[in-house]
Amino acid sequence: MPFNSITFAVFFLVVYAVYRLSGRSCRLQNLLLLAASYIFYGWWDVRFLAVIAMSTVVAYCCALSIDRGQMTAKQRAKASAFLILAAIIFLGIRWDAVKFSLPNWRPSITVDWNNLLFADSQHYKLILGIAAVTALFNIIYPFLRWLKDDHRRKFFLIFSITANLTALGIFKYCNFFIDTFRTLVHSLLGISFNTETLNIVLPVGISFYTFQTMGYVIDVYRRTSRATDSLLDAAVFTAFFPLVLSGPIERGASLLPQFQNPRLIKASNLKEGLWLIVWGLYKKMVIADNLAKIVNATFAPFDNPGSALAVPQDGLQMLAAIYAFAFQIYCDFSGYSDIARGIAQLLGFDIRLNFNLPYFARDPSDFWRRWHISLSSWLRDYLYIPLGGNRYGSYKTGRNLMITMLLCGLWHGAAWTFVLWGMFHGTIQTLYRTLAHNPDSPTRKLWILVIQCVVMFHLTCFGWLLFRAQNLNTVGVFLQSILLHPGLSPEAANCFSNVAFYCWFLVLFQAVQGLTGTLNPLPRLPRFVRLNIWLFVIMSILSLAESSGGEFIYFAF
Amino acid sequence: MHFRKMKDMKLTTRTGQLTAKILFATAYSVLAAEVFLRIFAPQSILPRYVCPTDYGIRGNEPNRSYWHVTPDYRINIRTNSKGIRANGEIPYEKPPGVKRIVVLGDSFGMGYGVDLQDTFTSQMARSLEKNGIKCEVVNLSVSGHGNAEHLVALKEEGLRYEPDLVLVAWNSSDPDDNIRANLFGLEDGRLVRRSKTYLPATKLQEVLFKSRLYRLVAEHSHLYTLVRDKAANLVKYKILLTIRRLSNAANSAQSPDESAVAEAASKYRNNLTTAILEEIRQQCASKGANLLILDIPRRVSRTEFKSLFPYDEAKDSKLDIFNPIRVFQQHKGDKLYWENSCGHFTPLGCRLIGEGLAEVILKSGLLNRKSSDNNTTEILRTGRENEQFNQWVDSQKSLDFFGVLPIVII
Repeated sequence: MPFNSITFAVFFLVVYAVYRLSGRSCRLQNLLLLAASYIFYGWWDVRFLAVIAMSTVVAYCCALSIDRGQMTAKQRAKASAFLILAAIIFLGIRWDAVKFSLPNWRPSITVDWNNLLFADSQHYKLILGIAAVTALFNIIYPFLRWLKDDHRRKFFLIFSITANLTALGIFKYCNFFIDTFRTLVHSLLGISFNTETLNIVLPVGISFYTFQTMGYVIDVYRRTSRATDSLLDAAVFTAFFPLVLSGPIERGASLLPQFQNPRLIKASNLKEGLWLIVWGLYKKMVIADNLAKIVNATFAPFDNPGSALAVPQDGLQMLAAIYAFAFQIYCDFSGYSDIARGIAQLLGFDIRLNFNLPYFARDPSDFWRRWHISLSSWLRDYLYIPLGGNRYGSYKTGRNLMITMLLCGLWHGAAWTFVLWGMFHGTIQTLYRTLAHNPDSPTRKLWILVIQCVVMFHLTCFGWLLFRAQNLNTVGVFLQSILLHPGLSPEAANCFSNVAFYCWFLVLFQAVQGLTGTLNPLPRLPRFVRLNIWLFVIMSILSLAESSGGEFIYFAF
Repeated sequence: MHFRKMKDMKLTTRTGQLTAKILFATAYSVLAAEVFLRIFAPQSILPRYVCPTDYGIRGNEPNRSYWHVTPDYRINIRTNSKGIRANGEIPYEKPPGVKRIVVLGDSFGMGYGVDLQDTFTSQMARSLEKNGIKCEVVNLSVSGHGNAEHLVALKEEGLRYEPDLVLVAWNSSDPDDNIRANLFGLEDGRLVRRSKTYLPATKLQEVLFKSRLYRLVAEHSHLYTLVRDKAANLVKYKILLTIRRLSNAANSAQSPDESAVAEAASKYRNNLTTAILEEIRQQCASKGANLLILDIPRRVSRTEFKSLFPYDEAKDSKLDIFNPIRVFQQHKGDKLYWENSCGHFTPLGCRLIGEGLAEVILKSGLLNRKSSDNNTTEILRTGRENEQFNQWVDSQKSLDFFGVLPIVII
């Protein structure tokens, strides 16, 4: 159920109507949001809801134990019951055997009773395992009170981080590590062995919600945030449907209180929320999906690992494809973030900004303050600063930057190209810091600013080449083609004109955003201009949207 | 009292102002949307003038002349008194020494996208004439027709022209159109007539097209075309899903496996198509005419083309099929289909098909009338692929917001 589907539009309208009708009760609204979030997330695969439930319970129990020293028996019983029930419901039942339909507008549910339960024992072993771990936790828990306060706090922090990283490791990086180990052993020792890579499906959005819950527990440990007593609040915080698939990665200190207090939805929120949704759809459906055609057509011949193709003679087409990808990935991801923020605004939530005109960045540090802000600030607060940040000289600053950016790359996916991408960003950040006298000092000369932005944009584009290429051979071929054969073929001219056609309004609008110093300049513009902007965006979605547009790129991360 | 009157007046003025503002904004929005489309996203304006025929299916409106305007081309469509796209009248009686080819098809068969002299039927006739065969084409194609309507049109109208050869321009949308039309069905493997008429939205169209203003809008407005196409595609898709659901429900009693049900539905659709084509062949044979099927390939890219014809189901039939993929492959990279205009053939695409058809007709002697229904010609099946329509529909299941389906006008 992606945001740009009719199914989601209907789903959201129904949820929103009920949500507004139940406006008086905060708890009722949270319950509704939790149900909606689980339906939304379960649309991909119901079984993955068990992972979300586990993440919720771990965060809830660890945060409470860190903050209050001890969970009450009632809280433990609630958390245990929730986890076991979730395991039974999400792992024990084949939900595809239950069909919902609306014949003649009458809701009807049909159940295929013969296929309601899984035939294999794997799922039931998992449920039993979860029940056993829960029981063990309840047996051991009372003994933990004998630990010193500091030790107990550390224990639960480490437990929470380990649990989250283990989940990430199993679902996201297991096959990558097996493959790497196999290749390493083969190249070093000459021994080749056949280990089957595990058939593990990546739960969509796992990198986002695990980081969100980890951040929450760390904040509680650092005493910058209080733990919530309500399991419901913790559950809806983890699975909140606008954010669960691709962020922004929220912080407990900012989002949790919003679940605990009544929501005020003003007319200005509605206007801004609607604009963010429409603007996000425009970015995704008109720009990203159309540019994807150019990108895929150019990269496709090189995507096959075994392909050994000649260096194309029209290097400018390769360059146009890289530019196209730069705009595609930006519009795809920031479009999703805009829609998520817009939906949250309609529901009465204020979600943190995730993108702030990243291609106007002057240097790599500036870029990471503007690109995927929720992740970069997460890595800054929970990794870079604890490692020492820039406090211990240039060598250690460089080392910390490299570690942070390397992990940032690895966060995006289990592939060496992502690792390289992270290393590249770490390197240019270090170089900029070393070479520039004071990188953060603002320049007043416009032409210097423009040159800085253009240089940074091209460095970013090189990073995107590493990010998009399926193998290093492709990177080499693209660079050779661009640098040695910069010919302008009709196809290259066509690519450039297409990129310009789909991106000109975005660039113009962002220039207005930059000049007015606000990301929502609409209220400052005359009403007639506003009407025309709305018309332009809506008509573009209706007439230029790529009908076979794919999913959001960041779902894969 | 006076104060109250003043208050009422103020309120009325305010309401009036608000109404005026809303009206202005609406009118301006419509105008601006039209301007936007003309500048940034010109639509393919392909008005379709169809009306009910005496035999219960759609036919082209007689004596009409209208323009098709797209970003790629501007062509004139003119119909004669029988609704045939032709420059003049065609009597039922065949002139002596002339071979007649009756063409049945949809918008592809009718020659959307090219002038009359460039349609593949005209090109085919010219090629045959160059080889000394004087022939006359009677093109009964109507945009939107499927094979079920071809069969009805052939029985009721086509055979009256005493054809030597019937050419069916088969399109990949035909199997679904055959289901949607519900004119024929299969019972115990036998073709049976289900419904006497299939006239979707023709009455509404008749009423609307009586208005000159509506005709003006339909023939010139890009905004109207956009809205109509989106709505039509949505309706088509919904009908398709309903039919699939119904046929799946009918099959689910026999098999609980969803993929098996979908496969059975697909099989039924293809079997129905094959049975209708076989019936067309028998009708032709009963009048001594031959049948040739043109399998219109689906364009994937300028170099890749796919056939969706149900060859597996038709393997035991006696159908003669011409598939131009091999010819297209020799011209790969050239523009054979209009890429911004609903995907019909370009003049080059039509020329390749027309010449290919003429070659096949000459080599196989398809213009020689037969007395029996024995298949005597070489069966020409190239570019065979086992691509099922279901896969395509499944790939389109996740509808884009407002984007609906990229169904071409057929």
